[in-house]
Amino acid sequence: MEKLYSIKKIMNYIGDDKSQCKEMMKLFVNTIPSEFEDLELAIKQKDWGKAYDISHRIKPSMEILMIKNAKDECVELHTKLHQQLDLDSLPKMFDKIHKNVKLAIIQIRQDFNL
Amino acid sequence: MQLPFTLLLSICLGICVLTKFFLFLGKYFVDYKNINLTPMESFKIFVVEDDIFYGQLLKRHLSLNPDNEVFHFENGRDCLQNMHFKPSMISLDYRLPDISGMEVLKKLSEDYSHVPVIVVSGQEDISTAVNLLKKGAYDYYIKDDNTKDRLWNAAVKIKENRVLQDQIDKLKTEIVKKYEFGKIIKGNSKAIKNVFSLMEKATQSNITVSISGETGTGKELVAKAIHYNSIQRKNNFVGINVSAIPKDLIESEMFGHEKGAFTGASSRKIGKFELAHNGTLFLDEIAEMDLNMQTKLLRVLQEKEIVRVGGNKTIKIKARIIVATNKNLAEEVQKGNFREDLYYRLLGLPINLPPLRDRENDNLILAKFFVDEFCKENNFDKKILTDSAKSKLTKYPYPGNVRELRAVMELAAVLSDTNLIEDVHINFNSTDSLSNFIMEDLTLAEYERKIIKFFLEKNNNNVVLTAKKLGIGKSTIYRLLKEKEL
Repeated sequence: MEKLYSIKKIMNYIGDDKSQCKEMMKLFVNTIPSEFEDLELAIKQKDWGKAYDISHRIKPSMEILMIKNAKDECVELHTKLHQQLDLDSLPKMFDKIHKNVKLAIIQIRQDFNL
Repeated sequence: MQLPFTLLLSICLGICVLTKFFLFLGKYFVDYKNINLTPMESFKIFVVEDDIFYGQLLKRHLSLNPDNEVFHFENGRDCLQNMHFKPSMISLDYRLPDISGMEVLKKLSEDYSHVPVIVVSGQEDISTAVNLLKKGAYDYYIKDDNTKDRLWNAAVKIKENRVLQDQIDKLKTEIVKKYEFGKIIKGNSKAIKNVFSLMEKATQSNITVSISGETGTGKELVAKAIHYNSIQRKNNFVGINVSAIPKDLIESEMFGHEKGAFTGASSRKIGKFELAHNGTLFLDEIAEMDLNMQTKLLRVLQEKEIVRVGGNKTIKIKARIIVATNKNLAEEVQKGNFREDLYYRLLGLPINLPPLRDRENDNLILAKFFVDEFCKENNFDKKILTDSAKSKLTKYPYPGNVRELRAVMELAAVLSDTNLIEDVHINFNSTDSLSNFIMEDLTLAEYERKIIKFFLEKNNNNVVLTAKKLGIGKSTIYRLLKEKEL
């Protein structure tokens, strides 16, 4: 099965400690979904300021875990929110990112028995 | 009686156990958002990051160094509320949910300016970064793959600086201890107690102090003692010997110069006034200052600002001034060698250091102190002053004052082969021959005969010439010769 994420950078941060890696993955799967729910709501309500804050907050996590088809897209979403450009395209873009993140979370849960 | 005692003991033990139990609870159950903080003296790092995942990663990364104690806060308020735990470094996210990073930085700069704050952000706006650095940020890092390494290196650097700063603080404390009044000036005489009292007064304000006294009385030591016991002690003590600097150089030495101000000024030089900012400037041998320079000094003291030689920018200066001289400044004013207006400006609190000969038995206290100190420094056995040595020490007038006594006692300690210092070990080598001459315990008549004998020998026993030179009658000399007194 294709890997939808990478733990390479995490291991780099925590010195190849597997148990700490598991803890970090647990933290990711427990915190990220609610952030995405909040982001979804903010985009739906066209609260671009709030949406920008949330996208800013989740961007590093996406980059560190190198979530496939979500990492670069998340950066793009963040940039569009920052520059207030092409805002109408954001709901569609968000749905795509959200879908891919959900898939990655499922895979992480399986890989780490979470 | 046995029962109440046992009961009392049990109550005491019970109180002790309960106290320890509550202390234990207090230490381990203080909840700061699930973070147990213990006020220890380790290298504490605060990671303020609203992205929990990223914040935890940074925390775990920085914790790889066991010397680091890392705490993660999700917002600015929690960080500010825990500042009493004295972090050594703060990694601060620019965008926080409650207070902005800029606002947190402002508060930290105001109240904890000594704590280095590194702003970490996804913002890639140069003007924001510049603004943050201007507001007092230690550094600004953009969130990327290198952030963790940069923070790691910053922690190493800050830690090294902290070690150096600790060493500087320790040395400063040692200097302050070294210059405690009781350690720096020994003596119990009324004259020296009066000096202590004036020094004490000098430390309580930033009043200008003018110290006078013969050479070797310890004017510079008194100046340093005042500085290191005053509120200015954390800042520099800058000394300058006015007589030791050529006239042409003193202005640039005192006020500094800009590059190219004169031939040889190859770079900017900071003057003594600037170096002493918020500290103390000690002007030794002030009476030797050239009249032209006195005018410039007066202006600086009045305006509290300087202009570097060759420069045009005025620099505000706030420094305590202490001056010293072995001359009578009032007399120098009378002679026209010292400006009267400068004299009054510098007089401030006058402290006159008494010569050693006017300090009762302080010479013996000092002699013992110098011998003990010298023996300790050179791993000699402790040496004791005999009565004959003490007697010799008390008769000498010490034209070189305390400085001379120190040299005499150090030589005595070296010359003595036992644990006793005898009078033979005490050697005065004063340049003042009169001082040496009157050392002997003689009557005036005996001194008179000694002088006549000296001049007779000098004049090849020519009585007429000797009588003429000494302004006495020939008969006086003949009488003394006849009585075999010469």
